[in-house]
Amino acid sequence: MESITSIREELTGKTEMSPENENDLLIRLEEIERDGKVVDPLPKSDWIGIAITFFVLGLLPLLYYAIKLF
Amino acid sequence: MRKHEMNINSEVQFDLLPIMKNDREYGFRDYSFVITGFAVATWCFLIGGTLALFVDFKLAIIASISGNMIAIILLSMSTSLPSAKYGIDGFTSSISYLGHNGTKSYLVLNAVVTVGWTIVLCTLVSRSVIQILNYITGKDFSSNLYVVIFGLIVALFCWFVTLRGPHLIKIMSTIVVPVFLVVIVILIFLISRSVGWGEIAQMSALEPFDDPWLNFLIAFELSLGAGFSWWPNIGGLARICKTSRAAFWPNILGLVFAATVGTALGAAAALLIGDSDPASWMIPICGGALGILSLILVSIANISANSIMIYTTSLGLKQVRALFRQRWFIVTAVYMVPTLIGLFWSNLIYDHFYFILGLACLIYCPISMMAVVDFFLLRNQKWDMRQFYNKTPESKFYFWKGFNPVAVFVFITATPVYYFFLDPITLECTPAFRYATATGAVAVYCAIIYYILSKAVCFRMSKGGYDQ
Repeated sequence: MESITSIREELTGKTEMSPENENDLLIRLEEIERDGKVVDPLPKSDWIGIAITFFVLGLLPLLYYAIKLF
Repeated sequence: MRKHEMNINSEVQFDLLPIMKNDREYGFRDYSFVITGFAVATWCFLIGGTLALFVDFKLAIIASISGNMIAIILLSMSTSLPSAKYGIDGFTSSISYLGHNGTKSYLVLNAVVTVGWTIVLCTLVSRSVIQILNYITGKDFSSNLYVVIFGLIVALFCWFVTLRGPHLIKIMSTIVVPVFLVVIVILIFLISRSVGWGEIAQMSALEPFDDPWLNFLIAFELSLGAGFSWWPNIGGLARICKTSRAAFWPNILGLVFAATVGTALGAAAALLIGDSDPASWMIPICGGALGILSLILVSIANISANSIMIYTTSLGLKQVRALFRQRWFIVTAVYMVPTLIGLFWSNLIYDHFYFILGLACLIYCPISMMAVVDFFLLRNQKWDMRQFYNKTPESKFYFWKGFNPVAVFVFITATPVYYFFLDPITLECTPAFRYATATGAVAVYCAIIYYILSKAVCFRMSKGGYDQ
């Protein structure tokens, strides 16, 4: 409750939104601040997958064709 | 204010709110379907035809996968992952590194690229209509005058659809994906039956340079541009995804692999007929009746895609304070008047369509790199959400007069860096292009300079809400 009061004090009348949407916004912001997020970020295993995909399908074809030509 | 106008303004405000977990619609599979339907569209044929100018069929596929992969991974890191985590779209999140007013300027700049795409798609429909008329009447309507007239009629029709509001657009958008998939299946069947893929793989590029490495790099560069062109759309979609995983990996499936299928098909058809223009090769490949049907289906898809682009970009323009109180007609006119004027040069723009891909690289690559550095390195993946919605100078994201001078400097200086490697209009390149590519150099430049200057200026002067 302290958080929503603090958000209300800081943002009321400063969002350029209608009072209805602004109230909705403040409730959502309170929930996000409480949890620190809406959904969890990617796990580490996915980041490894991204790095491998980036290298194998992004950079490697470029390197392969470069080596083949030069 | 009329009810329709109030609905539009309410929609603009509602679109800015963070979307919470319970309100999110897309799981991994749902988003994969949506993004695939979005990716495999008429622009794939255009891009494929353009790649065929420089490289053969196999290299077009390799360049498309490689270029799109790099661009889409960087894009997804810059917009999809932060958008999924906090529920806001890419334009709202860009306030954290551009500033409140910087983002509004960027919205206008983004509209310039979208206007370019609208002109290209209107011209494609115009040329399709001309091909149908030529075939049916036996006369030649291919002069510039007819291209412009039909292009203007198509643009006005798209504007009319946009003014009718989101309901009509939603009805039209539901028919786009199945319609386009029908065209793709028809083309795959006909190309397989007429010449076969082995023969297409043996065909040479249409208008290559003498240097094979340069041809490949230009195809790669254009594919990067095609990938970066998705920037305005994927942040908005990611915030409807239930998990970060669902917001990230479908982008690879749809925007890289599925888009490459459409691109490869466009390249194959262009190589087969010897013309990179999809409007020109439909009737020769499909035959009279089927060719006309395909052109009509592609035109319907283009009109729908254009209406969606005009609607969403105009909604974005509503965030600019000067336009927020304006009538919907006026806001859409701000978008459509330059489009209608540009259509007088429709053939020129259409035939140099790759310029829009270069422009996309020039605008979205610096933005993506600044976003990645800002969110992952400078803010440690944490945002103070209140600062996005405080529109007064008290907001930490207000920087100086609503602009982050570091981002402005990096963005402006990225243009000469790009030009040092490649001229996107003439495709003339310097020897340095052979070793870095223009977009590759811009990406590295933007990441390093933005990081150093942010530390030196924003951190030191306690601007931007960075944790010290």
